[in-house]
Amino acid sequence: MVMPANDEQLLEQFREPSARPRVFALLAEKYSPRLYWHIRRLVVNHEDANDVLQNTMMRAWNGLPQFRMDARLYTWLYRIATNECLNFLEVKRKRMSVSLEDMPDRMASQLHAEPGFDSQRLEWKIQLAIQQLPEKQKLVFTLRYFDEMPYEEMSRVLGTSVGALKASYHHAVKKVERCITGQD
Amino acid sequence: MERRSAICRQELSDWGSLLTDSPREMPYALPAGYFESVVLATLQHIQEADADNRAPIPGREIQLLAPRLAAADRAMPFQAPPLVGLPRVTASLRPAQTVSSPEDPKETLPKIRQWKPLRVAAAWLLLGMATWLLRLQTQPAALQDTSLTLDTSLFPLESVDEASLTGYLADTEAGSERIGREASWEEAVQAIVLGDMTCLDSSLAALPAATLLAFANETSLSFP
Repeated sequence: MVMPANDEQLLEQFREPSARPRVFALLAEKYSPRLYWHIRRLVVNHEDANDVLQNTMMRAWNGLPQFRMDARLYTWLYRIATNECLNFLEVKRKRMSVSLEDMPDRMASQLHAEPGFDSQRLEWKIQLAIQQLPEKQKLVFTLRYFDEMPYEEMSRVLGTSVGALKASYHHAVKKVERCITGQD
Repeated sequence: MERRSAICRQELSDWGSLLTDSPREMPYALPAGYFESVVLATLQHIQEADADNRAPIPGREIQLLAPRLAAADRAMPFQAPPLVGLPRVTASLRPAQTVSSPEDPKETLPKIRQWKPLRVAAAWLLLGMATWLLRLQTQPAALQDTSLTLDTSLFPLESVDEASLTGYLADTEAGSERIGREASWEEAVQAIVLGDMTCLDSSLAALPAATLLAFANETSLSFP
């Protein structure tokens, strides 16, 4: 049997109940890496990222029958993953009784505890800088800088206008630069 | 994908950013074979969730979980004191005021059901309250509620006629392909509020302050 190449064909096959596990496995295989790294950049810890990814895929499984391709599939998945991340971080913050102001420092501490962390390497400096950004700027920066997502797609993921996203990204980039050069 | 990558790098380059050629690799460690196993784990997770969602039969459920508990007597072991004073209370109630039981839903605790004008008035009141609450929620938050203030001492803001304002907007939207080049409304607002003049297009200096504030509210920009 020839494997379908695009998302529209996969979604068409998903409508058949008996084919759903197989089709969903194909979709998960295709999008899991991208979604995982998007999540991991926000939650830092692998176990947390895995939990959020599982929740994301669960919501995708439940929502796929109603998905009508009015947006791209990966945009829809990113939106679910982003919302799951934000919910997870909020629950985590309340569970740890950490204030909003202290959360960046807490996430930075988690980064320091990551295996292989090296504060001298630029890749780690960028990750540390990201954790200092306000929530919206953090999302915009990670989606644009790492996932190279077009602003129009990002607008559907985050529900913000294209112009505002460009401005947010501009400020986020400047802030990250100041962090990694030690000016902050 | 390569074109998208080139656009993103060009954007950073236009801003003179240090991040233009910075690495995009993730420095995080990942368990070996994680992505190969995550799909299987996801499907297992889904199957378990589907099994949990099927409504369990109560008798069968307790039998599986705890057979000894399933066999225990369900009678309440508690004792209750005699109901002193209650007969006087119940005697003073008129039949229409007794609490309705599930078996007798037509009892008149909700007397309102029997009086049509009161029902209509209550419905209108609820509708009015709902409309008022909806209006409250859709009103944009005042800029003064955030920490934003418009620093008009930096440069004077003069009113602009609508035609030139609309023309400027059209130019800005059309010029959005030149990422990072044109100062947009949003960047103008941020520049004015933050006092950062480096990205400000001088032609925006004539925009009315109220318009910029309204736009900042609408876009809900996140300011540091």
